[in-house]
Amino acid sequence: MANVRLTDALRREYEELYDTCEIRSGRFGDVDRVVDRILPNRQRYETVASGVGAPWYFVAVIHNMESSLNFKRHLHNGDPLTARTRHVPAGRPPGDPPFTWEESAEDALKLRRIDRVSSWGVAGLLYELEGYNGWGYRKFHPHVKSPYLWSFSNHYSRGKYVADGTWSDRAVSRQCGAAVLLRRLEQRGEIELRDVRAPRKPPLRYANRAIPHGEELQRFLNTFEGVTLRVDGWPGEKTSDAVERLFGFRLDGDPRGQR
Amino acid sequence: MRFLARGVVGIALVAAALACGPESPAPAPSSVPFVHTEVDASGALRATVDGGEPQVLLEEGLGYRVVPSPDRRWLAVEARMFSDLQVVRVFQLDDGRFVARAPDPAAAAWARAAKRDGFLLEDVLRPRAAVAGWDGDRTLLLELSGDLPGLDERWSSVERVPLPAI
Repeated sequence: MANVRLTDALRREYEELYDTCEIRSGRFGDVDRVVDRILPNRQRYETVASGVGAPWYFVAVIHNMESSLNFKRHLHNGDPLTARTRHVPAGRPPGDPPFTWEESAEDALKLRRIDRVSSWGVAGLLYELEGYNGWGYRKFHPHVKSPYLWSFSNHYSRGKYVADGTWSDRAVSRQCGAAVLLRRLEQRGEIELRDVRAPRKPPLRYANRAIPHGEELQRFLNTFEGVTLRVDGWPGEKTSDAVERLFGFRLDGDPRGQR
Repeated sequence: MRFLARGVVGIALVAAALACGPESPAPAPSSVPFVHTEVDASGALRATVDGGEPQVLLEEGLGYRVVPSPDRRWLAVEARMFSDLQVVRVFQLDDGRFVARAPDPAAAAWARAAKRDGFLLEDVLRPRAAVAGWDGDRTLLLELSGDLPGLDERWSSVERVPLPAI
């Protein structure tokens, strides 16, 4: 399938989507059930991950998407491990069966060149996951965020390819998306993605003019004892001083710098 | 570069399927067309008939497997549209070029199977259509499979798909 490049714009899109991803309230139980099945097998995912230089949680969520965490199937395509794969990609892995899940999974990921990926921040991770599944949603139905990533979240409601390969605007994915699983793993403290994410500018910065949400910030600060800011939407020196008094740092971009 | 490499892998897969696949026909007699298929660098599947101009059969696939009919007047192409969705598309030789059949016979087979076994196409997880073989020159054997809600074992069925005479 033709290439989709990880541009700065696409990187920002992935990060924004991840930051604003909320699991649908009726789906928390379903998501947690998957996470509960992933965690006891972390060591197995780490074994495969170390062979391809990917994070263990990437392997884990791919495993869920491709074979519902079944350790008796090839990661390539769900064929049984008792023989080489029969379907596309056929004849994998090289060698004689039966195969362990780990050796087969490593072969599957190397076949997709995952061992050549070097960027595993949030954007890189989501880019590789979407590319692993295929770019058809982004290319042909960009109004629908890929359910492979976002199903069970606020970013996806309906629209998918059904069994015969045709598109349906009404069909709804019944499988939890990979990004949603990552989000839940992070919420539960099992993984930490933020430290590898590209630094983002804080949404509220020092400014010499009125900015979006500036008034909201000033109203919020005015709820604290001793703070009486004029609500003009202009987060200048006085607003920055109030932030410093309450939280110990000035607004980002304050020309006086941080103390 | 990665995608170029994928294309090379794809070429290898198709070549392997044509050369070594269990469904590969015996060497064709001289009266039947010579069909060559390959995956280009963009990931498109191309076919050439009797050394003519190459034509694009499918553009979006993570991998392909081509299974010609014994008389090479039909091509059944397995295409992985997504990592979790594989389809079969059927092409008929017409005036030196392959043309897609509409409605697609493989898609119709899914509809029949779903109606018979009582499920909805949208409920099938990881659906896969694969070519099980040919029965003569005009009957395609399709293996349909997928994960259905409430079933531990993968649902599968082999469907006979008669194709019209040319």
